[in-house]
Amino acid sequence: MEPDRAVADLERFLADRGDQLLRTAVLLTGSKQAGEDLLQAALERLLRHWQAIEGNPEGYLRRTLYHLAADRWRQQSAWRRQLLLLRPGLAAPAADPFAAVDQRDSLVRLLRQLPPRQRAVIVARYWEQLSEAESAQVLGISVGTVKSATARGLRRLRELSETSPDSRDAADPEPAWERVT
Amino acid sequence: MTTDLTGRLRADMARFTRDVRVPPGLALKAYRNGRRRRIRLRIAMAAGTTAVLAASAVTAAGVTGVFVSTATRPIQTIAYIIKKVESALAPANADSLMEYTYVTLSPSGSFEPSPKVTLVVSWQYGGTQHESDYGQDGQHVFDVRLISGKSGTYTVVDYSDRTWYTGSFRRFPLLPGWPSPQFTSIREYLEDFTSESRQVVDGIDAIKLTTGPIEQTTGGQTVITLWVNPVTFRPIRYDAPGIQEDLQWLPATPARLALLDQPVPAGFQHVPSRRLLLTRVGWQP
Repeated sequence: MEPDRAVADLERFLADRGDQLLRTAVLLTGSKQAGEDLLQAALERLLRHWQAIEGNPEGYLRRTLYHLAADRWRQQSAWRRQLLLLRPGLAAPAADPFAAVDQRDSLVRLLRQLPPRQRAVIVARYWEQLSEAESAQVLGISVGTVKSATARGLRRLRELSETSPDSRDAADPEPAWERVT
Repeated sequence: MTTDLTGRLRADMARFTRDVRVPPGLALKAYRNGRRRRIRLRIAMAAGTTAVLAASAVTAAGVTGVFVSTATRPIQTIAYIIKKVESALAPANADSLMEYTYVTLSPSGSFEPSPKVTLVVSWQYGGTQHESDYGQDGQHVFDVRLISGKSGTYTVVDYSDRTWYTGSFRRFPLLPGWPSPQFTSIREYLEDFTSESRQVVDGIDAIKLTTGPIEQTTGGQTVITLWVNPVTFRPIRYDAPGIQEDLQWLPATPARLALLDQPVPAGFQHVPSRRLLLTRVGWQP
């Protein structure tokens, strides 16, 4: 690989399509920082296979985004780092500029509570407007799985939206402690 | 009904991502990161081989009684060390040990149940943990006992008003312990530790691992340091802004196990449960 040229080509591609891909990554992960991390990981993978990719890299990049987003280990890793940074003395509560947006967009917040595959299918179908067949191809699953995951994801979102009052303060995370009186 | 939901969903997603823009230089950053990772991997593989060879040499020298100087110590890269730490803390190797942790916290921290706590002394074994929390002036503030499980329980003794309460919680920590949950899942720090050196900690010539600047989710950067016993590869100290943990890994004797089951002091009043913040034991966003 000629790194300089590959990187320059990729920067040009990102100038054109990067915002859209990053938005998908942000929706898949639930935050701007995690979305950037995800896109960067997909770009690393793309650069490793740069010579083998013919034509527009967008398809490869999109597929990689979805596959990495469903990678459970990677998700846990990001979550644990977040936990670490929540520990005493390390940080004050959320200064993420997206936190405020988060509170307004209740369905996106609820989307994060879906399992990775259901979330990915919902993002593919309703954000990227992909057909069932296209979603199946991007995610590397069958059309039947796309259909069932979509149905289950929407059902769960509806349940969550009905039981989760919009007025809830998103800065106050859902309690994991059950009060015992 | 579904149309309403999907319509709202699309609108929410559009609003949520409206201001998202790719930062300049992301491709270059990805390239550099990928290159660093490949180099690190190559070094780790080479070091693994070197370490095995060096260990064989040390064993052979031990048999023949020849003194082996530290110059023959295997080259231990960060990746190799972390792999050893992971192995040392794997259940098969660490389950029979009790973890003793002495944690000093910045007074300005947000430790729960109260920010007054600046010192935590903790014993942990299996799914049970008992800790005693002390304030800045050394006063005993709380005792907390956690028992993990699918639905865990906790008991808090509050010395400030001589009360105690119990509760249960769902979603007990995916991480097995507090205050050192990260040590059992240290793999994720592999990429963050960028330098390795030696420093004496409590008489041990410990391996000192330091991260480069780590982005905090709340903005700003921080650096984390971990000291590891060079023989057992168990962590002995952890340091990050506002918190320092000193750890010991000890055999689970009956006397130590009894420390996990201390009774509520006589005369303390049982009161309804009070809420604890979730950063204490981990919560899923």
